[in-house]
Amino acid sequence: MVSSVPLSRARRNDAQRHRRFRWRSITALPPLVFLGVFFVWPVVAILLRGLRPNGIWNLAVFGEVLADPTMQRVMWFTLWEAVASTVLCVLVALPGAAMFARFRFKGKGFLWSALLVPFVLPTVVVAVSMLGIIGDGGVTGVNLSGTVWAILIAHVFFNYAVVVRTVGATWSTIDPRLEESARVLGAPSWRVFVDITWPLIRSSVAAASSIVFLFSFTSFGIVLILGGIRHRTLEVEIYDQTAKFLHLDIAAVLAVLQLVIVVAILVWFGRSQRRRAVIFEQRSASEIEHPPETRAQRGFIIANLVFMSLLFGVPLLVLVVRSFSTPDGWGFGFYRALTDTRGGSTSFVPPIDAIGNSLLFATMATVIAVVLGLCAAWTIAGGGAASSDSPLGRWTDTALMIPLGTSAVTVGFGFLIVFDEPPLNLRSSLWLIPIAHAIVALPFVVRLLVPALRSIDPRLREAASTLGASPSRVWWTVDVPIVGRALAAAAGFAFAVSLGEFGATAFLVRPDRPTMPIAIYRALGRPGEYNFGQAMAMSTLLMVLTVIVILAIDRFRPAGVSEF
Amino acid sequence: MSPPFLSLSNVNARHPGAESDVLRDLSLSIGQGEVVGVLGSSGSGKTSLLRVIAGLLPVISGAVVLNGVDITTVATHQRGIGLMFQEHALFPHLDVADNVAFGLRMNHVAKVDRSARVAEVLDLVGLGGFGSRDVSSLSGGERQRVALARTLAPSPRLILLDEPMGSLDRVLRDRLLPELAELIDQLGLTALYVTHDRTEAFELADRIAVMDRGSVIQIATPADLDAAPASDHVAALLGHR
Repeated sequence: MVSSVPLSRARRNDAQRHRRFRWRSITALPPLVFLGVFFVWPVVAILLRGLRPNGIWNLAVFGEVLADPTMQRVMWFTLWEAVASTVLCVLVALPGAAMFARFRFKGKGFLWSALLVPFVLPTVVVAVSMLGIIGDGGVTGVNLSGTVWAILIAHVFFNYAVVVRTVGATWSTIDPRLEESARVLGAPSWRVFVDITWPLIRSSVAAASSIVFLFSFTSFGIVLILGGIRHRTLEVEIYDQTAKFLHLDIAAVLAVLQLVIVVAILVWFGRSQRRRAVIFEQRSASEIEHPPETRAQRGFIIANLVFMSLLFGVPLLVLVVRSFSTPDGWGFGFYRALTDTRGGSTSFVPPIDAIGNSLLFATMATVIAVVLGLCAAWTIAGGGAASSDSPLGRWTDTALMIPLGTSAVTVGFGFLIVFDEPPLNLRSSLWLIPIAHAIVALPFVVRLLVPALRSIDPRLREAASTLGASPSRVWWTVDVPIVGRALAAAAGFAFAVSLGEFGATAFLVRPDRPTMPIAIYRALGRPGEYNFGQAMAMSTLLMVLTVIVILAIDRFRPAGVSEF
Repeated sequence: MSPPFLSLSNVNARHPGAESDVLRDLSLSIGQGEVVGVLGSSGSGKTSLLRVIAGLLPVISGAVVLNGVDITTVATHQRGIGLMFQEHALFPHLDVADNVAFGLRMNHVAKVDRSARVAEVLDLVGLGGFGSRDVSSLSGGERQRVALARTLAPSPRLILLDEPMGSLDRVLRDRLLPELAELIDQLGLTALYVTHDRTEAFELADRIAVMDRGSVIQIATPADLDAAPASDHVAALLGHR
């Protein structure tokens, strides 16, 4: 009797594993089908459009584009602007990472979360705030709009948190005794950094740099608004070729080029990372951080805080202040103007309608992204840490990260050429924009949910199933309550991403249903202080909405699980 | 009697942000070539004592004098003191030879002399030929030896050992302790050896300093200490009943 127990348990586990595998294949289906239809198909369509115009393989357009000096300039600018943004961002953010890694100070936890706000702020809002300071008639009196500096500063604004949080998280786990050992062995401070600290944080700096590079390389809203006529990235060029000149073939070729460059860089980066990574024993950050000791250290912290308030506080403050500063004095004039119906044409809709549209689309996108993200995360993390490494899970994981490396403009452009005609004509469907937003948000949702699911003790599930719960019941009674917090955070993130999404929306938006970023962009395109004021008022509203969502999700964020 | 090689007089020190001092009015003198064991329960300030001597923890008041020179405010990297941590703190991105060579490199020793010295020190700790090994591939005992070799390589004037056996199991400790004792003796090192284990202290030390609440409460040879503990607390630390 006793000897038969292990046997029967083994058999039961086996049966369970089979059931779980089947169950996982089912949950893998919705996200993968969604990705296939709404991501792979559009991208393939772009490829074919570029390489096989009129149904015949033909590289002539390719050759034309590559030989065109204007296009060469665009490609060159995109590349060097992305490199410059990355280098600048890393340089200014490393001291911030060091501060978070090494020191304990009042308000540190809040600041760490608050850094996420600029990262998720809509590009259009940031562009408008930059115009408010360094644009024509900006408060500094220096007009940098149309120069590369405006673009670089805006890119640093967005990506500062990426570097600080990615590198800071690694840096904070480095055992200070390593640095102390080096000092005792005769290394002055700068050598401690060069010989010990830098080699240990290098791979996280590289990881952060690749993300910053990617975001800067595929930057759309910022360059469109701040770049003027002279500075255009591939993204802006793709948009112009499509929306202004209707040269879909050229746009397709540019999209293919961009895709190739992005993939090549990611592959190269992945390779170089594998060779370089140093694995070291990590310490918990609370063992390491300490209050500042010397005057120099206090000065270092203050300098960092001043820099952050200049970088983030000033533009956003100026935005809000100027949105209330009308030609007739302080007041809600620009806000009232948002409800105006006069716009010069019959198709004009009052900008205030955009708020409703944005909230509706964001809700729809959130529902899609969260439902699919849950299915995907469950496929990836499966039965907890032990059984999480199934090939299906790994495959799903990789597949879902790809949209992160592709630009929103590519998604929008792909939708435009695919879902415009049967078999799937969604051109007038309300779902088109939410689906595009969900594609953009899905990688973030999955990244937030997987660690939470992995943290579930598999014994809880086993306990529930031995008590007679079916797999779906186990999922509902064990997984869902535990993952609830991460789920709330993921939903908030998806909502915020959708609220601010501009690149894909610019391609797909119907004139009578603008979202908030689109309304802002339209207001910027009309001349006069009155319209600029409206753009600032709408930007302020969008910023407030985003901040509310982000601060709300931060309350649900599982502690220390993810860098994003 | 010759002047002490290392002396601390009335040292007070405090961890950054802490409410109270971790070292209180601590005085201690060590002669050249002497090995002093520092014994005390956890929280008594043993490690802080080493950190003050190495310059990793600033003093609030008092003085640290090494070989007749006041080093109280000298930067850590200019003190020429060796310190070995309990966790060994080997540099994970460097191989064994580069770990051992680190202090030589910082002291601008020429490359040729450096590799000769590395080989010599590795032989000394019984790890000849281990130079190109990755530190993550080492066993606990090997890590301890590499840490010791790294500390010894630049020929420090004084070495500080912070529970160097603390992360090893009993069997390994019993094997390595006599080896370490012999090495210290052979090289004529001046050393401070922190431990909470009385047998370790008794085996290695010429004299034993007993610490309690940030001060040295008794310092004597092992035999004298055993015969006449100054207080019940010292007696308890020695395992007397």
